[in-house]
Amino acid sequence: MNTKILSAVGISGLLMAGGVLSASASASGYDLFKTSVKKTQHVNSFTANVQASLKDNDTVIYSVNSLNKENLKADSGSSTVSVINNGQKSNVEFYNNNQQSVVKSSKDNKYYVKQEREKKWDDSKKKHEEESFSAQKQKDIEAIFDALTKNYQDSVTSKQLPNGNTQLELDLSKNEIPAVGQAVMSFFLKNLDQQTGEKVHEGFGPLQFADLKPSIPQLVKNISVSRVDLKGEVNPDQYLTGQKADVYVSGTDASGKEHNLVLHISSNLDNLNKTNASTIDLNGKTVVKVQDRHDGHED
Amino acid sequence: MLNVRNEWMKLIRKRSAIALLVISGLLPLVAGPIINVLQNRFSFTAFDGESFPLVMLSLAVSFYLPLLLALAISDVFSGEQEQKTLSFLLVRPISRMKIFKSKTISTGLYLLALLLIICISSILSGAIWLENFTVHGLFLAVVSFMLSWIPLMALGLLFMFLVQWIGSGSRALTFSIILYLAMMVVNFLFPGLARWLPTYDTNWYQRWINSGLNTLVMGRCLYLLSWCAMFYTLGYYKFSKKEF
Repeated sequence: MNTKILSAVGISGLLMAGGVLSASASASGYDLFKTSVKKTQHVNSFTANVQASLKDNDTVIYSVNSLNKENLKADSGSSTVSVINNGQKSNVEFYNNNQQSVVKSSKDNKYYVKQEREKKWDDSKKKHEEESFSAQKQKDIEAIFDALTKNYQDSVTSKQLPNGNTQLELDLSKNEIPAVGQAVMSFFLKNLDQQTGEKVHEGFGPLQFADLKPSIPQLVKNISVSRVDLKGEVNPDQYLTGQKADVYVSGTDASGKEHNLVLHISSNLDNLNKTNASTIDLNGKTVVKVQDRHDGHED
Repeated sequence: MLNVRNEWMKLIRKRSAIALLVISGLLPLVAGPIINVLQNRFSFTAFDGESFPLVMLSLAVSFYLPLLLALAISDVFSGEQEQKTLSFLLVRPISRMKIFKSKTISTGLYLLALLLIICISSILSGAIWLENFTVHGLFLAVVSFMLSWIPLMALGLLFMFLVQWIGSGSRALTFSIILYLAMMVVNFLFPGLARWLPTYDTNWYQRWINSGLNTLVMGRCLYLLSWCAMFYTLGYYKFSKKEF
């Protein structure tokens, strides 16, 4: 090989290496996200403050605010949920441990109690074991996840917040959202009426939650997800303590009116590994016992 | 330029090449109404006029175009050697450098022509059949198609270098396809290694859309261009030293 060829190959090889190395150095926001997700998976207990709201052309049509205390090790949890649906406010409280679940709604002052059966407790235990993957399986899933998200990894921006946490953000505009996401969202919105019809029996025994369902405008045309903004907050211990998602959907309904829907969900984790679920003392309270239905599909 | 016209004619006047160009143009035109019907029947909107060309492009760059590129390259080099027509070219008073250059340029032009045809027909199809067609979408589509030329050409230059060892068109094609599939597998299974292959960038237009011109995109640009330079040089070297 003569020197000209050799030097051309050498120089281009060096440049190639430089290109690859300079490109791979910038994906740190994504790496921090992965580390924090892996770490947060192994949390035993937490307090989560979850808020969600749905806006239709800038009017809030539905909002949920809940405070959940979960202790996975003791299999107990409690949550208070308040829902504002079309201006009407209602509160629901849930308590559950491995023996019973209790539900209290602001509609009446009765406490609905369902005894957990032995079998179900076994099932959930088994399920929990399945959830913790083997190291190899986790690595495979990670590799696939990496390959699927490679075009988004470098769009994750990170910012240092004044409280010491790091904020990660992924802001996707319409053309960056994969077609599958568009398809699922538009399918969901176009078929809303059929879904609510089927699930009208959902509830906890005699307690029905039908009035807590949001009334989302029925979109028929030009449905598209115009923007998705995801934010995560990682604390100095590398736990993912805050998550926020804003989804913007636009479309027109049957009468041709244009709707811009904004779904906002945020969740803040707190008291990691230090949370104990609230308990309820049923003494002196009106208790309604709820039986599992025995017609094949219980719950 | 010397011999480019000659090579271009050889590439484009083949019956198979004409058929493939026509098919490339027809596929998006047919896919548009089919998607329209499916979306109406199952009531979802995955693709609208704005995103349809990009969806077509993502399919084209991951399967269709690498295949067609491999086919063209195996014809231009190994195929001609097999048919013994390359010797006629070599006795003309043109340097091997110029012959190699003209073959590379005409392959690049062929790839550009394929991209343009798919681009135009998918934009048309999206505008006619699907709702929500915008000027912004048109602009994104044209830029994305043009950007896709670079990673595909990098892949093509690698094929061009490697088929120098193969004296039969069909074997060169099979080899190129297997090589491409292997690179795709690496892409999914070994993300660390994948960064060193041009297949990592086949849908890099998505990265341009997502984040514009940042360090990563600049790095990948530098990588792809130097990859092209390296395999062009190596390909030429092998071609010039080859005995026919």
